[in-house]
Amino acid sequence: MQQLIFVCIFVFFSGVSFSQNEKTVQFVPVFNGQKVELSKKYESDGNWFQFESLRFYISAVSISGEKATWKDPQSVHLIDLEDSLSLFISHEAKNGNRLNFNIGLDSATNVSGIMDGDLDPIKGMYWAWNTGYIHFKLEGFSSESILPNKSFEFHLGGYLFPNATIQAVEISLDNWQDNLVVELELGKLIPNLPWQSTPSILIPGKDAVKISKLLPTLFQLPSDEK
Amino acid sequence: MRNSIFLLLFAISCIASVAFRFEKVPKVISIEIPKKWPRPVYDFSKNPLTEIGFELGRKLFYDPILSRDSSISCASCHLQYTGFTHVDHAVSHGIDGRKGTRNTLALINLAWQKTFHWDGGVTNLEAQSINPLQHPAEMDNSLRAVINRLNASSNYPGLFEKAFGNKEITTSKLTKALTQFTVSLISANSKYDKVSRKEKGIFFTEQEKRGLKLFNANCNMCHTAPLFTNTLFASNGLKMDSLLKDTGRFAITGFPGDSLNFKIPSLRNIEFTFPYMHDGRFKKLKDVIHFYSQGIDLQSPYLSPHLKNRKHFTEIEKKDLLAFLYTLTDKEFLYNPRFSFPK
Repeated sequence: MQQLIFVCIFVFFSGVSFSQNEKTVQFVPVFNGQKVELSKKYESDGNWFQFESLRFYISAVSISGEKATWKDPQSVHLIDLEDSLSLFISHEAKNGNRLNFNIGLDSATNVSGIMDGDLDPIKGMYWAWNTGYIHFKLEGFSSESILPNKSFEFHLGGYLFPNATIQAVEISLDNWQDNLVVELELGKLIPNLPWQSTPSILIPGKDAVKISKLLPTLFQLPSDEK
Repeated sequence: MRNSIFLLLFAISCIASVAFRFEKVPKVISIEIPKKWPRPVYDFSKNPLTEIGFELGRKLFYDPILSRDSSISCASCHLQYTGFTHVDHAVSHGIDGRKGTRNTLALINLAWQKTFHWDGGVTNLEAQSINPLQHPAEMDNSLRAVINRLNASSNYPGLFEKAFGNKEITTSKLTKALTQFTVSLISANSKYDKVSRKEKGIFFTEQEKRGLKLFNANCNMCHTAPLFTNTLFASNGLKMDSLLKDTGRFAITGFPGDSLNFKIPSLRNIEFTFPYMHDGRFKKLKDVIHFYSQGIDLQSPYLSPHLKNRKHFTEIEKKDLLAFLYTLTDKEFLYNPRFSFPK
């Protein structure tokens, strides 16, 4: 009987309460193996790089095992290096050998109007003049940039054919751990950016698509777990 | 037995929870869809109109609190008496007198529009309002600043709570409230409408009848009744302004065929929405008719196929067309106190 009352109370307050879970997927941005800190200078191949902003959307997260697949009930997460809590996504998978997610948002989310939470345009990831979201944003300064103030800004987004930028990522998990760590190795992206032509991409189009296709290769398990 | 107790308690808790929520929700109102009009495009189910939400949107629309230095409101460029556009301004000036590059669009019958702006870059009415809020040549504010300012104000949190059941003002609530006002700006009481509805004692003059005939034969394929727009885009043969270099919809889609394509605007209340065209280059409606008659750039590779065999109107025909276009004026809309500055 006590249990029944508990269930009823739960039903009454459902939608208000959240269950706590300590199992997480943590995203760790690194540059050539070093953990990335904003506004810090990094040297690489005789050039310097300084990151001021790294923000991206992760959607449709799932963890699959041989018997079961856990699907993230929260459809979208904004990962923002400035907000350390945002680097963690909680999960409830018991086991798994595969982690799947998308970088970016599907087209339905892009045209769903103004939303709250991680999709609130106040987060600076919304293009007002051309309805849709920036899926991946990297800003900073570098000796490589041809711009006078050495700045760079890559705002990658777009959901319409042929300029869709959403990318699927699949990571094999050889050794299951409740708390998963996924690195984002910027060292794989930096050498492939158009420093000498367009270090400022702010609209959907071919350039954004080209760079977005590189993004899945950035995600990896930390090297000691490989 | 245990099961039935469970079901009973479950039912009670569900009803209680629903009732608990209803108590806070204000009464939903509906807009009147004019007879024989198509179904609105706007999804009212995601933002049910309420009297209190409409009034909140109206207050926000007329409140300069939204602009960076609290100097201009939406109504600064969208004046009711001229169909909610900026009369006599080729392009509008926003904050500090900064000028934009396009003519202010009228806010009329927005519930039937699929896209917004001259290039159709915005695909959702709620999302539209973010543009003027942030544009450096318009209100030049940041979303965060607007939201913080509204949350810190003495009156708005209470008004948002009444309208949306929660004190906290967010971007989505702000844009929903504004939309409740703008989506309600329906104009369907012009002389044209009254004649169409066969209202007692209202008839077209002979001149207006001739104008309607000309209109149906030459204009209606793009400016399609009853909205007087087919809500699509076209290149109307205007040469590109050499300073503004506005490519129109091409900037959004990247398709070469969309070059110099602009939104086909509604002609409702066209008498008062001067100047005309996407860059406001024509001051008078007769200049526009003269352009379609004699001024189209027939060499343009992007020209709408409907205009390739454009008609050369005689001076009498131009006057007839003008007379018909004036029947699209809806004074009840332009002077409706429900849409005016809230007292």
